[in-house]
Amino acid sequence: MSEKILDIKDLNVGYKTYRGVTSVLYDLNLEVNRNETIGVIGESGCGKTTTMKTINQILANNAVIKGGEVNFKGKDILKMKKKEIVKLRRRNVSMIPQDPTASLNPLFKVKTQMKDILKYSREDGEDLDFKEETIKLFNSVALADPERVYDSYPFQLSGGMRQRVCIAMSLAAPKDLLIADEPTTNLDVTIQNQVLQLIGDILDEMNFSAILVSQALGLVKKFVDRIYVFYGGTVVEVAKTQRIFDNPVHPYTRGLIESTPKLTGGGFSAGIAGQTPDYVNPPSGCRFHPRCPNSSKECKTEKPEMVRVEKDHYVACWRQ
Amino acid sequence: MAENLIRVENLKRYFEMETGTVKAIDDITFDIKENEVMGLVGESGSGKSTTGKVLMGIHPPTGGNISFREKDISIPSAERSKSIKRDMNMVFQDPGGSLNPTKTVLDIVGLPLRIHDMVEGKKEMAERVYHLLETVDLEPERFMYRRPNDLGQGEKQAVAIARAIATDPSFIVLDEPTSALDVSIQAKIMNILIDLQDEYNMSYLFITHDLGLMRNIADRVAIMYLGRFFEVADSEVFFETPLHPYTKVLLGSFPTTTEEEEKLTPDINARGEIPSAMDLPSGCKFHTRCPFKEERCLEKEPKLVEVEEDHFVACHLVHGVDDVEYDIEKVEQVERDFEYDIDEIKMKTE
Repeated sequence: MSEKILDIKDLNVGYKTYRGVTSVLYDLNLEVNRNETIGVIGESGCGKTTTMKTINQILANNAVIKGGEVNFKGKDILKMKKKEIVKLRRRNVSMIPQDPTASLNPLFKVKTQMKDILKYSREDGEDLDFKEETIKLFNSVALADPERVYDSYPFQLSGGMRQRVCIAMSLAAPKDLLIADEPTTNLDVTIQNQVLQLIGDILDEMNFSAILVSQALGLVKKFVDRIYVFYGGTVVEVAKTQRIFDNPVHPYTRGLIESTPKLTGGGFSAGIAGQTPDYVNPPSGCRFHPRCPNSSKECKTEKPEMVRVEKDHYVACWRQ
Repeated sequence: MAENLIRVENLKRYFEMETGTVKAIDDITFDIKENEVMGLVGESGSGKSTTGKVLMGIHPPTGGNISFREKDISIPSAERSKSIKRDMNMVFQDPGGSLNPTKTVLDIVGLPLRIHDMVEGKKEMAERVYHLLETVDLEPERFMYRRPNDLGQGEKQAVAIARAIATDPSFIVLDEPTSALDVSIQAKIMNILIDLQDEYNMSYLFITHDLGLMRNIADRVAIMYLGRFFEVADSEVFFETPLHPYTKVLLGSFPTTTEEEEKLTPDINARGEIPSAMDLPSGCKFHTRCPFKEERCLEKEPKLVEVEEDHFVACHLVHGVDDVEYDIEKVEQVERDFEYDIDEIKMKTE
């Protein structure tokens, strides 16, 4: 039995809005083992980013954590004091943001921002040669011309370079868990591939656990061991990566795979009807039932439990 | 042989900036036939959206000619005749930004009908809009009196499509119409677009960076890089026997989900980024990122040459510097580098 780095149990998170408190995350369960990379897949508005932000405790002010546990190495993050959380962010969990442009401070040079991170996240932070360390990090993320980048403002860099700077920042200190929240959505396909390849190489080399969040199934396929499929703030299917593609069980997972356009042609599937649920008044029972092609009575009244389909493959669907 | 609907010759569009000239489109020539979907692929900054906008007259061309059914339309949109404007339309990338938030769906879709005097009175307009919404799979009773803010992303884009087909055009520019949408909704919108094209015999210029989408809609594909075309071919040829290194790099970067797709993606990794359009590389514009570049690539820019029927490529390695003849040895060399099956190409050339 491998050690669990992260163990989220029955997490419920919502946001206060003028229409009432929403219920976004709904009894969400997720586990990450040591040295394991998992993928989190789902459409926009399915709670992927909310989950990641809960782990790092950087939720917006109007967020309400209604219950559940987020155990990091056996300790509940939701019960931690502020000081412990700061330490957690600096030493244990790092995050590669979705939008590198919004995540770098436009007023400071890259070198200043790198220095801050090195100073506070490394144990020996005070007496480092910051420039040397930064250049070393830049080289490890294959940034062209690291000297120039070091002395630049973020706006002087291209999107791909900014994302590499962000990745370098997240690698500044050894961590237990790396969260990459859609690290490539704003980048071109060719750059996308380079950045993911880089993250993949780093994961192989550094041996830490990681969560790779994405909307596109094909993107994470090459890099993760297991895939969690999110829908409506809850997990609908978990399996080893290849099994998700070979034997998708949940109708939502199937819909997602069929909707992805293929290079081999063959036209488009019908897609999935409807839209992501309204979180102020979420659908009762299985949250997918209004869009599900084969929903039954049960689906409308009760939330399906996760059931085992095969080894390491679980699905939450009444029709299973 | 289908008639040419649109013919573009030596089209150029430059933008003068304080710091220099940006050559967004630099000498491209192509045509779009009646009832054809022409695809335009490229990374951001390649000039593909500008091409769509120039065709629509949003930007007047800096040089070259555009003709629509043999009428010259290389003039700004305001000077174009009303009948031409009725015949050409565009769907934009961001459905939220292209719909007026203060108007109802009825007003938005009805506006082009009123402008082109295609309806008399409100009642007839409502009837036409009702029918148009049905064709894009929106229930008219539910959507007619809503405003864009009450619509989902997919529904907004469906409204934008309904507006584009309102005047019964023969040509629509689709500028990344689904890039803001989730995959499940994207599939639905794409199906609507494909059905409409079939039903109304329209031609599309379909702009996207997603090769998977392209494979499933386009009849012919052109690949664009820094304002130039690198390869133009029928969709099947383009995806199964690509010749230009850049096409292969793009295909190699495509995130596949099945094994059959894996076979179509060459095992070649992209490197570097698209250079600034203000400071263009010498010779072949792709040489800074090309894994197979040779000395001549730095010196001379390759021309777009027809290497086999309806298959145009701009690459020294494929067709040689001066000879326009199809240089099979060179191709074989490149193909060997890619560990590709070349029997098919050989057959075609023999």
